[in-house]
Amino acid sequence: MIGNDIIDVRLILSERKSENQRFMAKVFTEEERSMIEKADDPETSLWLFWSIKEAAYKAHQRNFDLSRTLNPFSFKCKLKASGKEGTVEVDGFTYDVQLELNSEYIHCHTSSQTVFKKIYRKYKPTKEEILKEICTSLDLKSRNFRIEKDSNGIPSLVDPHTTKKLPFSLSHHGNFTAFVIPLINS
Amino acid sequence: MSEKEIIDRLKKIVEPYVQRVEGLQNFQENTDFLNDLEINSANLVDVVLDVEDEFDIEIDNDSLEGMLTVGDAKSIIQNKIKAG
Repeated sequence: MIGNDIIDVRLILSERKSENQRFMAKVFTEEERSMIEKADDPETSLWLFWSIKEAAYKAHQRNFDLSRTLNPFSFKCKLKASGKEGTVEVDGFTYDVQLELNSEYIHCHTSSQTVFKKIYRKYKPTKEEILKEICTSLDLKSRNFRIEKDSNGIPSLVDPHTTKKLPFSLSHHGNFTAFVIPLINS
Repeated sequence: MSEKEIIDRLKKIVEPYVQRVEGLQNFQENTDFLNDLEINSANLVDVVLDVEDEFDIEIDNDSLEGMLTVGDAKSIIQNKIKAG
């Protein structure tokens, strides 16, 4: 199952959320809060944890066809020593999350398969452009694919003629838009 | 406190976080924080904190989970005020 999340670093660093104990208590477990507080840069660390939770939330929601909810606290997050991976536990399930962190953005994704990932910077692509990018990158032969969201707002590429359905995950924040899609043979 | 008063106060609280301003024109119970107002999920936590301050209540995690629309928020606020 697939999920991704992007954060425009420029927009969040001024929020100083790591100093807001009430925000911290609503979103993070004791263990997570202690890791965030100990980090060299608690503010960036906080948003990294948030993004990891969001990516796992999207995958979990898709996996079990769950309606939308605001329950970041239920997604228990750990960082691996490498700093490039995290794991999230929720309702007895574990999601491995890949992280990318630089001065401009934080991007997290989870998938049981290898993915194609694309990040747009300072440009918000239209649905059609995303569709075209996916079809080209995955070398999809069918011209019938379109992007559809289900009642929970979860997007997939759908070919109505063959009922083929390819899950993908889309995220937008500030100057950045990102999507990931499992690399599969069409 | 009347429903109208709750919804008016709620509108003032969410305004700074709204990214789709058109959504505010028809601010009513069915208004969806994410879909209609495009408030991002981190800011939705901010809304909850501001609601706690404004109405002097505490919103626990179980209530937080179900707060997707203005109507959801209104019911949660009403229940908490009654319980307090």
